[in-house]
Amino acid sequence: MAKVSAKGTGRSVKTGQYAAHPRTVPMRTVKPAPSTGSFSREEARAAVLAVMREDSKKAP
Amino acid sequence: MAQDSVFINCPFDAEFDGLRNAMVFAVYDCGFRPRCALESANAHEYRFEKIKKMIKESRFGIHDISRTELDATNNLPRFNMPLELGLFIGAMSYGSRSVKDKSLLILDREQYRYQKYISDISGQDIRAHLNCERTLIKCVRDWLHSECKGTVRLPGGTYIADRYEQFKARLPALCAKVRCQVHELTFVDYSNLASEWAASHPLN
Repeated sequence: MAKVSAKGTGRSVKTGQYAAHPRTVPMRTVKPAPSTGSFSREEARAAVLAVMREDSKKAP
Repeated sequence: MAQDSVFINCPFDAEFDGLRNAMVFAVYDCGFRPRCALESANAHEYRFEKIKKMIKESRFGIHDISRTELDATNNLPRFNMPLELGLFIGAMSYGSRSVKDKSLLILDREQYRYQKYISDISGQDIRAHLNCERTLIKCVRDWLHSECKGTVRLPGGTYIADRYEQFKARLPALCAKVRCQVHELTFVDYSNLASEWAASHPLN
């Protein structure tokens, strides 16, 4: 756990408390594809989720 | 100009499908947006005009010149990829201030092959994918990671390549859900499935 300082990171001189949510570099966010294909984004998402559900049922 | 757009300049023939699909997946899984002349089916717009527009709009460019070789029928070189690479470098050099701020990655199948036919590009970022999808993914990931300049975290190249293998293995099942065959997927269709799969499978 990161320490809290006056600037938000490191240990605070005054309080000595630790930050519950340390400041970190964010993970990347996946961008959506164009919406001009043979099927919509919603259909693509539904297909991915359906296959994930099937895979999880097969898992031991 | 879109700061997350990556213009993809590569062959469109079926023999290159594997490498192109790996490239598109890697770009999405790194949090960027691939752009390609194939994304628009508007026949009224000339392909070269579309390409010029996309280059103008894209901050990044991946240029695969690995298929610059003599055509078996005509015995002439295929030069669309080097042409578009030259256009991109021209935009970086002579474009307006808003267009010039670009970065590019050049890929070939062997490290120094380009020196035999386009040696003037020496000094650019040129990497070899060895016709290997996993190697290509690592090249793309490492380049995009360096372009992020620490503002965003990306998983490693091997991790993304493993995710691509998982996606590829499930692609026939995904296609069945949207009532089509893998070979029938257009660039946009494939992009849709790759983007949604990457978004739905969080990084561990």
